[in-house]
Amino acid sequence: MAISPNNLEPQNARETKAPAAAKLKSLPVRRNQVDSAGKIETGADLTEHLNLEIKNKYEKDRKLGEGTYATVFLGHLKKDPKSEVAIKKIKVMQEYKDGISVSAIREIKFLQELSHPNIIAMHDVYSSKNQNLCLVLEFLPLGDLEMLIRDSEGIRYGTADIKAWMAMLGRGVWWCHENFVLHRDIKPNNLLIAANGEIKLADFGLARSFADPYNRMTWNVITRWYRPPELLYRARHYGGAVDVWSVGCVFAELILRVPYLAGTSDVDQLDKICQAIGSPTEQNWPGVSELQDYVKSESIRPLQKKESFLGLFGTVGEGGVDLLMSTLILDPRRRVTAKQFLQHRWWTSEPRPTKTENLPRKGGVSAREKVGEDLKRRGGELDNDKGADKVARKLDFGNRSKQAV
Amino acid sequence: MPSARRPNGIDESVICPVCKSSTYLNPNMIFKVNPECYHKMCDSCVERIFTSGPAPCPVAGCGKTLRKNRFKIPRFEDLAVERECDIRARVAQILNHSEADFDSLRTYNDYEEWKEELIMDLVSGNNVQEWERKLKEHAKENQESIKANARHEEDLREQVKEDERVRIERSELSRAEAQREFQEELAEREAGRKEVINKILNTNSDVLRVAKEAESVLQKRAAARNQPSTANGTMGVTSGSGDANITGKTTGSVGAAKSTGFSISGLKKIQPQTKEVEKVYDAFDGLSLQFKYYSLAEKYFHPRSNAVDKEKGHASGGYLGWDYQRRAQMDAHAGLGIFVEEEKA
Repeated sequence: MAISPNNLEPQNARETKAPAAAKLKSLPVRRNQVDSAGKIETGADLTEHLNLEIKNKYEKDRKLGEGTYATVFLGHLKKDPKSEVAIKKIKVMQEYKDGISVSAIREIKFLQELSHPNIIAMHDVYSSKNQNLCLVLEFLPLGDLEMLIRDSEGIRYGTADIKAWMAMLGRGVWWCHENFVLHRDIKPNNLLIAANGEIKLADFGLARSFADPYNRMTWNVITRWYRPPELLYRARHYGGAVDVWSVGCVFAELILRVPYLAGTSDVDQLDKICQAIGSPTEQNWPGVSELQDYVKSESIRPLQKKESFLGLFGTVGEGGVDLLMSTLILDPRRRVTAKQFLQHRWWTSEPRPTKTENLPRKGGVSAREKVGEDLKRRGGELDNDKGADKVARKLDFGNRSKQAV
Repeated sequence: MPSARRPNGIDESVICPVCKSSTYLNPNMIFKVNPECYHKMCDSCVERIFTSGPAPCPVAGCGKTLRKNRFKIPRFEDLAVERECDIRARVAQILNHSEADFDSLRTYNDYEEWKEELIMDLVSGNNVQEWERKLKEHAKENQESIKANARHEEDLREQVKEDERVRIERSELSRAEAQREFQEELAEREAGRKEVINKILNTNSDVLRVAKEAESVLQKRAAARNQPSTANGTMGVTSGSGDANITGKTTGSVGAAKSTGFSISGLKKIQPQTKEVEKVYDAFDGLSLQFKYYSLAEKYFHPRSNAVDKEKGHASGGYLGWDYQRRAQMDAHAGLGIFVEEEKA
């Protein structure tokens, strides 16, 4: 496999297509091809050449979804018509007239680096003819974790299933952190399900690498319900612990089948955290008062005891509750790391995690469309109030939705 | 003698090339062929010549040694078709992989195409000796897997039959059940009506009320009847179908390295028959980040990042100087595992 047929193609094009160009010009259908071939001829620009090479590898089949940020197509490899890929075409936007959007850059930058079974794979990147960026992503046909959580009528799952999912999520996050990438937008929406049932971490539009010391990061990341207290206090320096909190929230949501801490505003979110876990104080979180937005609340709530967690989340067993609590520790330095998360005793205790192929799943057209929905979203879209609105409308769980909208 | 080959039309007779007896005189004559040479001859000639053991074919210029037990009545008028069918059956017996044995549809299709080419070669007489030798060797080498495949196919056929039987049985049972229920209901209705009439006759109470009472009694009974009957319906028919599961079949790897037989690419590896003892669940799924070319020290002297842990706003937000130091180490050494020569290749 030294040289693939694809590599040869443009060279062939140079030899064979050029003489035929004059003839083909009269055929409008082939026009495009002639143009591109001509470009290779005249421009001989190496980057353009390579780009075309990649572009010609794929064929778009149909549109899966369209958003303000991107359009998602289902496509396949020309060589193998049975393969399926998702092609995410990022729109050239008003705000980024001079270049491409930050989230697109982030997504490409990190997906290119990270290769792990629990992280969505990016096969290729190319630019289309009007300079739109196209990311060729792994196509994950079974929707996302949110669909499974919400469908409490149709989908039943147990501790073993939760364990399997959480382990996969944990591995994905662990791999990001080991490669010094913060995902910063972990939520069930962004956990897509592959054809074999595996969970894949997607949407790296808000990701960044671990910052250098004294380098300020933005606090305005992670969808509010999954945002840790240090970000709500607007910390400018943080680490992998922010993702671990989100993992804990997803864990709790998997058990409850309803978002665990669903605040309607940032203040309300902090309030919810205080109620559910306890108020951050200098005792349980040394240095918390130094954070920019820390306000000492007049009524200090004590840290919740393990018993109350056991009451809510007891179905996953004592070990599970222990692990959940360790991801939801207020002080980010005492919160478990992704690695410690995977080293917990819960994983080896009974019941054994469900095998991937036996995990409950939801197939059909709806799941496929959902993937289109998920991929077209723009990272961090949910952060402003408009975005929050959107989420609340999308999720429907009885009385809470009224409150949120 | 072209007329002998033709299908025997209404007024055309076929003549046995050996004894020259004709269907005109004996319409019940049976013609047989031997897959050795496919020369047609009548049944009585076969009996006459080959009963006492193998003998050369009596057709002029053939002379192949034939055995009586290989003679058969051709299924097709056209003996070329007959011959191709025989070859196909023989090859299919040896190369009997099913789609499930291959790791992708593509490899299976490749295999099928290759098989087709082989058959066409045999039919048209290309390279026959070579192919025959290879087929024979292949059959010998892969006896086990061929047998297993054949057995599996047999099992599948059995399974289909069994399923059909169970289906019929079940539908018959349910029909009988429905019939019985209907009869019971009729009888009950009849009894109820009689009761109502009796009541009306015996007591002089309100007719309507009595009728209503009787109706409610009937309804109650019907409800009571429905419950056990559904339970009955599911019981008793659970026989058979469930326990007929087929044990994992062995596919047998075809000796790819052997130069003599065939090499069939894309076959799945045989799964070990013994059930693997489940290992302790590994939350890391077998991945580890052991660095081959460097190791981390306990602590690094780097004032800037060391100081960070005590810095206001850094530590309390969860920022760790250690993370920065680890990253710096990784960035510095990231190129160590990459060999330009390998990358080029």
